Amino acid sequence: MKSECSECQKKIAALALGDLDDRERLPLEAHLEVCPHCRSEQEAYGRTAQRLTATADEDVPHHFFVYPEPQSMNLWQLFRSMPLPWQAAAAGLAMIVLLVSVSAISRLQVRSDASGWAISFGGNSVDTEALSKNILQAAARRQQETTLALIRDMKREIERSNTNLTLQQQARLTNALEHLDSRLSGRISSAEGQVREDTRILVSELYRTIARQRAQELELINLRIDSTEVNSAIRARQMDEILGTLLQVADASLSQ
Amino acid sequence: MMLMNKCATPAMVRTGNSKIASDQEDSWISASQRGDAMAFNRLVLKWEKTVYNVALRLLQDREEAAEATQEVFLLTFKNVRRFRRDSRFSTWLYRIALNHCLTRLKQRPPGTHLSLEDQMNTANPASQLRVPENQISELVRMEERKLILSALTHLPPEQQAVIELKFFQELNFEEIAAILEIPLGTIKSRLYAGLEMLKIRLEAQS
Repeated sequence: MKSECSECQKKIAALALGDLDDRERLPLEAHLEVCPHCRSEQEAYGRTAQRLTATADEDVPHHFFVYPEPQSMNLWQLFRSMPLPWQAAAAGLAMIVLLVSVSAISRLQVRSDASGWAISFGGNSVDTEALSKNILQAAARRQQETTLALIRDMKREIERSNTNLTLQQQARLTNALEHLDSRLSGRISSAEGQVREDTRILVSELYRTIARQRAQELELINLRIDSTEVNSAIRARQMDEILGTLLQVADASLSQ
Repeated sequence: MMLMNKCATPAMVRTGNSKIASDQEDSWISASQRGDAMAFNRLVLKWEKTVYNVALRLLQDREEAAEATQEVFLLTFKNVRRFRRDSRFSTWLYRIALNHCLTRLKQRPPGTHLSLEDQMNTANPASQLRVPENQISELVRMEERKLILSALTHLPPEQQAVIELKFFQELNFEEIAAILEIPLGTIKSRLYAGLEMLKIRLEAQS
């Protein structure tokens, strides 16, 4: 009996886990019918398994959302991250700015007077500070519109998916969205700062280019003025010589 | 359509629901593989409680379990492109979670023994503020949970992992073998040994 019990007890755990086929299970169950010791062992295994499966999970202390590594975007990366229609609009705007710049530079005039330097394009004087401000404002406005459109798209997507979720999941998603909003706004402001800085650098480079071209033009004008003065002096000397010759001829005629 | 709805058995409804849930999970995985963090966060919402409790039972420390859970999800997000769908997403996630927790256990200095028993009464203020409908049954439930978690700490990590998957995640032997990538015989021997130790401890405590 004892060896049978010892043999049975090796299989009781397997029985509790439903891991015995009929060939092994039936003799074991027959033994359990008649052996109180093995039966109590089987009941203990059953109780343990039941207690383990009945243990409830704890709630999470907080959500474990992940975010891509934050990285500062340059103008090209910002452009690449835009949706296609916005990319087209931005490319169009850049083209217009380029054309206007080229056209303006080709008709550029720089004047200096008592109040300081003034730049004019084709005779119309331009306020450089206002121009810089306008460019910065346009860039910031464009950036803001792009970001708002992105956020609107994301919200729309989440609202659409919310219809398939439970209230608890919706609440979690709303929390996640708020968290995302706050992170996104931080990134937007840093991206705007970057755009401003890039635009400022562009404008200063534009000014330097204009100044350099103006200096070259002034040098050319000076050279032309110099050559005109030399020509005038030569012509004046030639005229003097001609007049001198004519006077000598007249004097000789009168004396004859 | 109405007739069809009336004739639908609970099993059919459940099958339909699980099909929808599986499709939804598939679409989230695909979007995550394209780098969509929002889609991955939906997977996080679905699985965070499971992963956190796996980590909690193995590591026996709430703070470390939360840290490990965050690391598991970051690891999963970084590697989600490598998930080839030759197994279920849950199998892949369990494998990452268990391997990560077992690595953490191995990195602990020798002789470290943490137990949630000491943290039970203080660590979760929210659960203390909540007034249970039946305070006695709530206390009994907490005491039972304390006993089980305490008994688990005395098992070797490999046995804990098998017990976790069999009893707390209710997976079958084949699924456990797929997750832990060890032979079925080893799974069974670890499970029987672990269950026997738990039986001895829990019966003695009772």
